[in-house]
Amino acid sequence: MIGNSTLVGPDRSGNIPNNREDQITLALSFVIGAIVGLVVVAFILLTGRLAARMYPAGGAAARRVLVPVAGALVTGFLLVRFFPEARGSGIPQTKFALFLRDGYISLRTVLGKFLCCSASLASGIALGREGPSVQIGAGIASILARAFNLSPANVRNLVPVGCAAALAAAFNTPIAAVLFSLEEIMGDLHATVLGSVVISSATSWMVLHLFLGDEPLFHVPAYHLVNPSEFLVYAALGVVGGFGSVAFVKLLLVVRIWFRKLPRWTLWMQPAVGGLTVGLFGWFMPEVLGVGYDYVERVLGGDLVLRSVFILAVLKIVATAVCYSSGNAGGIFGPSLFIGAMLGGCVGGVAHLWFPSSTADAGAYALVGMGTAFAGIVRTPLTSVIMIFEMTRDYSIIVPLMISNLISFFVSSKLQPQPIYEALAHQEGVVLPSMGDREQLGKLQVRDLMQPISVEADTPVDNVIGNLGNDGPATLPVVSGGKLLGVVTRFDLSACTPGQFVRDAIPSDVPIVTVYGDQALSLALEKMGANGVDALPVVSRSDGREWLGTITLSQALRGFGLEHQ
Amino acid sequence: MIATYLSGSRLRATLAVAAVAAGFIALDHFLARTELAELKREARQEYRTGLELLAAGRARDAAPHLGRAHSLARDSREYQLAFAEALEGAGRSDMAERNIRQALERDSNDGEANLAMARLSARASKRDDANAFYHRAVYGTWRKDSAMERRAVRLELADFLAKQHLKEELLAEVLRLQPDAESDPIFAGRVASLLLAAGSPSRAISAYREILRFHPEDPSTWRGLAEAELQVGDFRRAQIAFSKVIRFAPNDSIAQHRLEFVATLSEMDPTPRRLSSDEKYRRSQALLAAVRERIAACAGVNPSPTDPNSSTGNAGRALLAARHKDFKNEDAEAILGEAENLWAAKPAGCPAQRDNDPVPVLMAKISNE
Repeated sequence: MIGNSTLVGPDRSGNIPNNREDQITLALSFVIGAIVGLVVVAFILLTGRLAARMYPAGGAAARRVLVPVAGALVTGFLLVRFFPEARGSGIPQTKFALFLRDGYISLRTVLGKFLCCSASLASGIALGREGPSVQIGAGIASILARAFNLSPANVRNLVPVGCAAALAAAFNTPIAAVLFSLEEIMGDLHATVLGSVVISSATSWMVLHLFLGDEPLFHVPAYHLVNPSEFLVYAALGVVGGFGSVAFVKLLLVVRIWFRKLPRWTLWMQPAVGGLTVGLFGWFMPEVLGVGYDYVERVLGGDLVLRSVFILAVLKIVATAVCYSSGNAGGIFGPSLFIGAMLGGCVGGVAHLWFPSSTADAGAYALVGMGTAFAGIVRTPLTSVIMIFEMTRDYSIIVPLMISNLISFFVSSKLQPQPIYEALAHQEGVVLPSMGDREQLGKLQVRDLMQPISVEADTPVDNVIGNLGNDGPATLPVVSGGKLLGVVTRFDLSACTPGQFVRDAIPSDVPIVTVYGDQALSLALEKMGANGVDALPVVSRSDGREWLGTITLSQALRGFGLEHQ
Repeated sequence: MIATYLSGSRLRATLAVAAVAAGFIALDHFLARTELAELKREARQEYRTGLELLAAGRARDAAPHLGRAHSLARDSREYQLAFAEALEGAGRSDMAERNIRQALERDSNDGEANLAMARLSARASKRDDANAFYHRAVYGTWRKDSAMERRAVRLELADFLAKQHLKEELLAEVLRLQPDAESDPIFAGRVASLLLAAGSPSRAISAYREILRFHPEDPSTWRGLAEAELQVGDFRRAQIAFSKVIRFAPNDSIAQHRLEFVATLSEMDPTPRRLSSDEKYRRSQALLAAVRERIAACAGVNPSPTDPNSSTGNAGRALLAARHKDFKNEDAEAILGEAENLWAAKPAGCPAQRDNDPVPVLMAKISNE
């Protein structure tokens, strides 16, 4: 069964009618795959050809500075004025839509993302096209689902379907696209939408091949393990990749905080800082501009000298961090692969210099390095392994890739516990559901049983204290204008003097324990027990002070078929 | 059911989706075609630039251009092989080999790819590999003018075999080339010289004479003929041929020296039929003395002719005995026989190679007779 719907029972004749919406959802999976594939192909071709014209190889150095700055100014203006939802890489924004807005992504956002990212990447901004493709794909899926009047549940279900289609076409990696959608977007490898995701990924991939042929993203020589001692070098690469990933993520987050503190009127100009940074780097090393897949292929072939590779790794880390943080439209997938390839090339180059007979060419390490950085930055180790394999179609290096990925993932998790997309969401003030939360999504949720129980902050204490605990809970959320100010108990209220208001009773030294609407009822019970309360305020994930309702102990128990005595 | 479902807004949505899809199909088709054309153009440009640099001997500068051409047009075997050639010239044989192997993986019978691999192997002194790849190139598939290509490859293979001194295999290849030599005098000249290198001077003589029928004043052909005659031991004809060379190329100093050498050989040769017994005997003695001198020089001693343990003991006794007897043709033959035995028993590498040394040439002639 595709989606969350259930089968209707048999009719009198014994026939079982299929759920119509499931059928539409299934059919739409093909349509989404096809449409998203077409759009992403256009996106790839436009950005590639425009970039070749905007800063051609061998062109004037000044052009490499002016074009990114001009492009960033134009896209900055467009993003602020017309397409505010199109900022960023697209992955966090897709997850916001999926978990906070029932999968709603507007047509304006999709158009804005397409236009602004095309312009941005064509100008040489050091960001990638895959993240934006994901948001575009998710948006197309959302638009189509709503156009066919599907239920909110199925609209949500089709968002990862669009994501998978986009990534399959953008990277030419249909299997990794499915895994990424489940591992990162949904956070659940056993999601019920697996079938639809596979269908859309395959369809999109076929569309890509119809227009652009069957070449892998990168052509690499057939590398193999030269000596078992190479595992030590690959392990070292995992450590280096982990540190490199952390450096990149921390730099990006720190710089982003700095940009967010700037006055709001500078918002449209901020991307130009990223453009100027990448332009100045590009003056000396044009390889930093744009996505840089040509140079990734060269380092995979062992064709770049060690010094250049090291410099490019450092420059790209800085350029991408500044470009992203300053608000340019574009993603970090492509740059992650670039950074990883360069780091791998460095480690491999040094290893091959010292131990030429026991190690493979630097290109083999660059190949593994790509996956290593991706696993460390994006924190999707399984997707990373499959993606590198699909990109290069080289299976011989897969065991070192797995080892290196795992080490990088471990190092990165220890030094930067919060994954980048989660950290970016937190900077926006959004708390996305954790893996545990997502696993509970199918079960009874808080929002199903919450009630509008609260007390206004300006209510006199005397009016409230008498009613507390009779039929309702002994704990009450205090709200004012829909905003949660705190929680009071009978004890807090009784400590007040007559004439005081409820807001005066809120204890200042007690942290406010809340739950989200999409969390499991069992979690709410756990929190009540842990904090010794019989009610919890339910707040919005996008604004922790926005009060949505109250879940009481009695309601929660009733949800499980029990009575509270 | 579908008709019921697709009504109103859903119908509009379906039509809109179809229109968007059609629009993007057209757009993608146009963009893909444009991209392909631009990439091909760029690749061709890079290829031409690379070839020019390669022709100018700047392989290191050519490699990036040809590499880019190859990456822009991966399906072009031509670009890939040119890139491999540039890589090899730039000293990156590993990468060159890798690229050629990739081309061979796509089509193991491809003549051009096999030829490239043969050349690479030859330069890397991998004789057996080179030999194998040359043969695969000869019998592989060629896209245009395959007969000419195969002939050129076979000729290159023959040159390779000649350098490796693989005479039997060389002769086999050259005999296959001979039928093509009839219509092309330059090619015929090459074939004839290869026959000579293959240790078949009589065939070479026939080939050269055939060329001279139509080009009687070609000094290079006369030169080849002269060398062939020299190899078979016909010094008189060799002399005539070298004289022709000088006649048609008066400035050819090498031919002059060779003519003088052949003259020396003629004067020392004890085997001509019309030679008098006295002259034959004298020449035999002189030749024997020369042989002894060469061998002694290798041993670093000047052995006495009476030393019974020396390798020249028997010859010395024969010489002494001859002083006390009447001169006879048979004695000359005996002396020549002794000289032949001495020469056959000489240590390997003795005497050291010397240009224009008549002794080895004469002894070779005597041994063949």
